[in-house]
Amino acid sequence: MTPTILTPPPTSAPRRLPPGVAIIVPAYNEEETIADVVAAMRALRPAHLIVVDDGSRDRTAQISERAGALVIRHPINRGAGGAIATGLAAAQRFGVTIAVTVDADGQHVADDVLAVVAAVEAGEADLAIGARTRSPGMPRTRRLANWIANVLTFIVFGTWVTDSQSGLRAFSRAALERLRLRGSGFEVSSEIVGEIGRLDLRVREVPIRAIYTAYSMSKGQSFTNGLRTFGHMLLRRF
Amino acid sequence: MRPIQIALLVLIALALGKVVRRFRQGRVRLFDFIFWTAVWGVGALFVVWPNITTVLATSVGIGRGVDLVTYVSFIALFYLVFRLYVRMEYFQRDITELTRHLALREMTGARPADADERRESPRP
Repeated sequence: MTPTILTPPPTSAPRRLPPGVAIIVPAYNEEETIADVVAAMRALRPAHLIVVDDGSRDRTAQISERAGALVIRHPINRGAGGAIATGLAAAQRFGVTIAVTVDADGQHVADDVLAVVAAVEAGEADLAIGARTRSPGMPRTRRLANWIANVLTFIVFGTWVTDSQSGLRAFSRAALERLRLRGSGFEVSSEIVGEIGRLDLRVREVPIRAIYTAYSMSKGQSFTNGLRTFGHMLLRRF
Repeated sequence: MRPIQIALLVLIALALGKVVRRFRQGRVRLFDFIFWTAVWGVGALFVVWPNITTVLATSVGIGRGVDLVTYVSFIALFYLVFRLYVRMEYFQRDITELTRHLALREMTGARPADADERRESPRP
C-alpha cells in the first residue's frame, strides 16, 4: 500500500483543533523543552493535552503539569512505545474522536499538528503521518537513517511509507480501537506502520517541516539502538 | 576412567541433583524435569562411553564424535538463547502493561477541557 502525499492546509485556516481531539506527548527527561511544547499545543485548544512522563528522572512531570497538561506518569522508564500506547489508551478512555502524538523535543510545530488532524478529520484517512522527508531541514544523516528504517520496516511488515519513524501521527477513533501495539521501545514507529497493513487502515502522509536542533539530534536513536530496534521489530513477527 | 571423565561426571551429578531438588520443591514442571534429566543423562552416557558419540557421528557423516557433540551443543545453545530472548520480551511487555495500568490509575494534572465544558453545561 502506498500512501498518498497531501499538501498542507492553507495558512489562513483557523489555528484551532476541532472538538474531541487529544494531543499526546510522550516524554522522557525533557525538562528543557516540555514547557514550550505544552504551551504551543495548548494554544491549539485540544480537548485533552496529555503528557506521558515515561519515568523521567528530571522535572518533566512537574513542568508539564504546571504548563497545563494532564500528566500520566510511568513509575519506571518503559520506552517510547510504551509511553505512546499509554497515551493512546488514555485518549481512548476519554472517548476522543482523534488522537495525535507529538514529540516532546520541540521537533513539531502547531501548524503541522493541524495538518495531520485535518487529514483524519476529513474522513480520508484512519491514520495520518507527518512526513519529514520532503522538508529541506532534514539532515542527510537523518534522511539516510530514515530511508534504511523505511526499508527494514517494509521488509518486516510489508508496508511502505516515506517516513516510518515520524513521531507526528493522527489516529481516528476507529484506528485507536483496533490498534494493538506491543513494543516498548522505538520499534513502535515501525509497528504502527505494520498495523496499517494488518488492519488495512487508510493512511495519508502529510508533508511537515522538520525542525532539527542540537538538542533534538542528541535525543535521536544511535546506530546500536537502531540495530536493537530492528531486532525487536523482527521479534514482533514471531 | 580418566580424570576428565570423573570431573565431568561430578558436574553432571551436581546438575542432576539440582534438577531433582527444584522438581521436588515444585519450581520445575514435570516436562522440564524429564527434559533436563534426559539431557544430563545422555551427557553422562557420552562421558562414560565416549565411543557412542563416534558411532553416532559416523552415522550422520561427521568424522569425530567430539565434533558432533560440539555442533549439537552449539545449535542447542543458540536455540536456548533465542528462547530466553523471546521470554524476556514477554516479560518486558508484561512490565510495560503493568506500568501502564498503574499510570492510568493515578493520572494527575489538568482536568480534560471537555470534562470542564460538560460540567458547566446543563444535563440533557
